[in-house]
Amino acid sequence: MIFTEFRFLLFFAIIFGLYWTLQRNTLRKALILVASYLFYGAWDWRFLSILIGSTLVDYYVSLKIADTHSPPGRRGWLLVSLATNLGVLGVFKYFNFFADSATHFLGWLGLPVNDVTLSLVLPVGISFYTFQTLSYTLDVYFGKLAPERNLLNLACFIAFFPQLVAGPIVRAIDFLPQLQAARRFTQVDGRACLILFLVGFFKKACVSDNLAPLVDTYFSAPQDHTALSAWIGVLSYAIQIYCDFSGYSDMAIAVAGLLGYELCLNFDAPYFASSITAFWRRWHISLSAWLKDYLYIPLGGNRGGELLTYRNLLLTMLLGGLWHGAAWTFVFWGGLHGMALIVHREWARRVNAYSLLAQTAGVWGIGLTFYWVCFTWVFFRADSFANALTVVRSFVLLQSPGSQQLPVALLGAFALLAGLHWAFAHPQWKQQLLRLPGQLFATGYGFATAALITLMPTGYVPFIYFQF
Amino acid sequence: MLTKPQYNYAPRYRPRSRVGYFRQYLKQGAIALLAFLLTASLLNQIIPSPAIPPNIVFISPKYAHYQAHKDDYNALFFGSSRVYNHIVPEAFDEAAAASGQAVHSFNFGIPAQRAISGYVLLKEVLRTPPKDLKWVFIETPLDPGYEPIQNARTNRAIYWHNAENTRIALRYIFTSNESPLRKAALAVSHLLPFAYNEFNIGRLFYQWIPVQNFTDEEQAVSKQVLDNRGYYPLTGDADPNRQNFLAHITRYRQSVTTLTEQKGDMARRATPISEGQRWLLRALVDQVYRAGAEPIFIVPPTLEPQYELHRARQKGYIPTLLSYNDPAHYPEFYDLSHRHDAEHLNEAGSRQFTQQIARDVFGG
Repeated sequence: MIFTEFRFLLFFAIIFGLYWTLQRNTLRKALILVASYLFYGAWDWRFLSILIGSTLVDYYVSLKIADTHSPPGRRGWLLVSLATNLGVLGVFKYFNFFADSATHFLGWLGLPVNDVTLSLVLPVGISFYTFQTLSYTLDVYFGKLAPERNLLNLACFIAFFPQLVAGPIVRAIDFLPQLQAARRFTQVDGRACLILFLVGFFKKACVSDNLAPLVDTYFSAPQDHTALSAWIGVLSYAIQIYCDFSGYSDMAIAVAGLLGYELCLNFDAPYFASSITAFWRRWHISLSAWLKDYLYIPLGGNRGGELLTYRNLLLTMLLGGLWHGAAWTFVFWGGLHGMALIVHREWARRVNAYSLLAQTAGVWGIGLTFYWVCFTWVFFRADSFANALTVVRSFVLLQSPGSQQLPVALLGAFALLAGLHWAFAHPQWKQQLLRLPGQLFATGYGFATAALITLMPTGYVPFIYFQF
Repeated sequence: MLTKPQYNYAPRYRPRSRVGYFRQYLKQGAIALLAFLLTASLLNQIIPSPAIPPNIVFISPKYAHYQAHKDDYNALFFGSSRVYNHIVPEAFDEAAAASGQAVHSFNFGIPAQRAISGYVLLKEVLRTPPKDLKWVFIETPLDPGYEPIQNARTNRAIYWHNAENTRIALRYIFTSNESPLRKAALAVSHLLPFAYNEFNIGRLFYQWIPVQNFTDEEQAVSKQVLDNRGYYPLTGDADPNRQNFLAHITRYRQSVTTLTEQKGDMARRATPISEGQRWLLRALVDQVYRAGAEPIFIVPPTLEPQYELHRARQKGYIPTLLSYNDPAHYPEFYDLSHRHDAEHLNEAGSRQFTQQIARDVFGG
């Protein structure tokens, strides 16, 4: 069940109606929990056991951490949580990757071993909720948060269906307080939520899903295409992944908002970032913040001098790449971003802030950052390094290995989308819409929805980030 | 490098009662729904769905070919995969020629075609019939009117669910012999694609400005099918259905034995047919007569007894029925050497089956 399916709208309409009819907060939370498990079970009910198991482990461990006074004991309980959560993630997501890599490495050393791979299906959203539960236990361990003694609250936090399968990665410190008191219907900014949902719907269903077949065509055989096609293919993927993921986040925030809960902003016009550092402040913000707080800073952050800072940046980005997928192309993608962050940091340190170059960086930096980000997407999207290098030769060196041409008219559509991206980044129009008389807003909303539906594909295209 | 999450919008507290809010939202929701329906209806008029849009897998390539070459043909075959994979037009024409009949046939079989969608396609194709059309062969399993719900949002399900065709489907279902609950479930399986059709899902991008063509594999299959005048042979052992068949040969043999026993039980041929089935058969016959041709119904060598069609023939609802689902009379079609899987013949079996039909129709 995904947000752009009609059955989700039906599902949500029922939950929305029931939720606001119930008076007691406990009943509402119970309803959210049941709805969340139903939502997750719609993919594969068997994986509910992992979600519930993870919740129970972290509930118990957090209480034990709080009740244990000796540091080794607390550390031991933390290790139980880490081993359980990362163990499950490791088995389901990374076992085959590491086993395969080890086999290749040993083979390269002249020590051939038999392949050991498991035929496992990746539970949808496992990376997201694992990070969420980890952040909870770590916050309890570091004393930033009191353990949640109400199991229902913790289960709701971990399984909250709007953000369960593809984020944003919510922090317990932000979300658990929202579960303490009943949400008031009068607090719901319905109009803002509806606008956000429609914007997300447009990004996902009308842009991303329509670009998906074109991107698949190009990346399945880049050697058959021209250099111009490489540009169209790579730009299409840059737009597809942004619209897919930020569209999902917009809809998740809107759905949660309609139930009275706030989720954090996950994207902030990242393609208008004027540096790679700014890009990572605007792209998948909840993951960036998680990596900063639970990886970069514990590694030492920028406290140990330049070299250690660079090491920490690189390690954080390499692991961020690995979080996205169990393949070396993802790790390489993370490494490229880590290198770029180091270069930018060094550049900012060396260039005089008052020089012409630095003063105009807000303009040329946008183009350069976008080009670099597109370049790195090649490794993120390609299914092998060989394919990625073919694309890079076309995208960077403008070589045309083949003669097939993707529709050039798409470049015009991209310019239009860039304009929309700019408009979405400047929310004045949203303020205007929020001020419209209610009946006019409702009429416009109905009209816009009917118009957008004519642009969406008839089949379903799953969200890209579900696989992570 | 990183930043703390920011909230997307600040919740605004407005002192208004809950009931007042609900009433306001209800009113605005009703207005939005009305605006949505009116706009959808308007768009439906401005950008109507083509009778057969250009991106319906299996159907559109055949229909486009038919439109360009229809006057070349004087015999058409309609039906499911049991026509698509079983009727070899070239073999049919040769067998007919051997009997002194000049025939040029085209196979309009579509995989997974069902009773209502099959009727809709035949109706559309025969709206502009070939000028010398003489014979229309129809294979139509009289299913309960089922349309897989998981396919509801596919081009193939949406395209034909306009108001008229959905009404036909509902009429067929509600006059069937199914239980009320089953009828309701069957009706929903049509109402969903009908809603998608009425809401114009993908209309602009996928029907008027098709941005998504068929996949490479679909294009390759289409080319092969059109080169064979609509026939697609089932060959090789890679197909999962074939694998399943090979793994369960004993079960297949038992099914053949059961079918043989059932076919010998003449009392079963008195199975009543529903009003909807009767209407459908008559509508098919009328369409063919209107196109100036002769309707010939076929029951291919399946594992289903399909008593309803025998009953329809007895009652005179259909003029001609050629039935091949009798292992006692046609053991060769049930022989393992001629089967691809439990429900389909392989290429050799298909040629033999096609020639048998030609001999039965034209003599020789």
